[in-house]
Amino acid sequence: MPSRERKLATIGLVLRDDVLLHTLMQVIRTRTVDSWTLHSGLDADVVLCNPDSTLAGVALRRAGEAACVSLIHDGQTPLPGTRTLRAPIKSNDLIALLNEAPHATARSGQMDPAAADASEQDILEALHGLMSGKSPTPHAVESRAGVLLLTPADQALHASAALTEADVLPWLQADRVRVRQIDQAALERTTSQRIDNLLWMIGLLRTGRPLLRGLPPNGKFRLKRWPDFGRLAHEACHFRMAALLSRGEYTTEQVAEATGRPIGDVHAFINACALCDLLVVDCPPTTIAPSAAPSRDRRNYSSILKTIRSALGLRV
Amino acid sequence: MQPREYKLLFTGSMGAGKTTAIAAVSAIEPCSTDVLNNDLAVHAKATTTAAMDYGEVVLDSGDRLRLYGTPGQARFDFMWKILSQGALGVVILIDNSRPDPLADLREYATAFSALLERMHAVIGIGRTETHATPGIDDFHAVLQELGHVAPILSVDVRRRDDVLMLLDILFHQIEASEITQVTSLEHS
Repeated sequence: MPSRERKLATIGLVLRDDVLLHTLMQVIRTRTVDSWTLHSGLDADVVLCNPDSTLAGVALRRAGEAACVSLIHDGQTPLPGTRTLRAPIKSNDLIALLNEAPHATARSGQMDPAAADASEQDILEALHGLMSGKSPTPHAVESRAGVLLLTPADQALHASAALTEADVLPWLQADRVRVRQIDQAALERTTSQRIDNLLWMIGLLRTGRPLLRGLPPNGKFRLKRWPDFGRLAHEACHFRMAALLSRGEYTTEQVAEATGRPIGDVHAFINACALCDLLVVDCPPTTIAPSAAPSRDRRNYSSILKTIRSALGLRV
Repeated sequence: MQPREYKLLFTGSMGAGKTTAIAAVSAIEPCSTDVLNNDLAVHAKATTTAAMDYGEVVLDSGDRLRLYGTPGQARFDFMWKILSQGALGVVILIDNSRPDPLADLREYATAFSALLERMHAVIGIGRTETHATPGIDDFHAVLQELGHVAPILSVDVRRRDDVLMLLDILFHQIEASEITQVTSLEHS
């Protein structure tokens, strides 16, 4: 029995698709989980678009990639990041589309509590699982912040334009996401960029949480290689953590003690490194090669470096 | 008590930005031994450093941090050895717009391998915004082949903050070497 009232809108459909849709909506009304009505605004749960319509771009911006569905005829390319429905519309395809549709959230900015279903995951765990799987298949990550299209194997993020700060900010506050595979065709009209900057920020800014599920709380960690701090956000304490973890394996407690930072900051750094595939977990102890350095190397540089930093205006 | 002196090196290929990086942090007008560039086939800049660049930072105690930029061309490699004696660390600058930046890194990492072995080195890759390949992973692979580990960062040495970041990371590397030496001594 239908449980909720939900809305379907259309943008720029050709007449025959529009007529067919109206007919099908009458036919399928008892066969969808929720009760669906046709709606004239973009605050709908699903916006069915003709990708070649001049209004499709407006619909995409206002309703978001999660709500937009491209209705495509042979030879047409879907709008970037959207799900697709093939024309002519078949009733079973339409029912499946409506039953799987996420709820409209753009207006309220709040996730519908009823939408917090089992397919939603914690954003860090979901991204970690996805990226460490290194799948060559494109995936969509959906949250109330929008939709991210990415290919884990290439560490690539696909978008119609480079992400701006305004695009990234909502993702830094997002908690729950849904992940689904998407068709390669959905990446047409998009360009690729590296995703590590976004993953790094998402990991680093969550200082109040424990290590990711796949990382042993008492394990020892080492860096595969240094993060590219020329591109990635950082504070001076992250240099210190990286310098330690690139030389040997340490527990999070040891890093916290050596750097004088709260354990939450260390967890966030380790999580960010794990998201960007920079971490070796529970690695065998490395043998530090005997240093060919002269005895001068053994003297304490800390006080000298403190003075140099002060002269250069670096925070000690 | 006689003021102490510490030495930092900036090395890398011609046009990588050694002179610019030294100028970004030096307290004095850097001294350059620039001459007309006869290697226009290698780099189109009008002048190049024939012997070395020099800048310095005066510390509170009256001590001095001397900043040396090596000449870029390999035919001056005898200078590299002289300058690296007693150096606190080295900043290797690579220009990603050159024909083979990975070969450049291989050359300078080999020449300054003693400092890299002590992990007293940091590597800055310039012009990555206009020349995205080779990527940072490729440079790390070269270092791994040579048996070294070092920070490799995308930088623009025209920005003082980027030069300071390179130096700060180098200093953290040096401090971490002390911590790990202490740890290994405690465990031995």
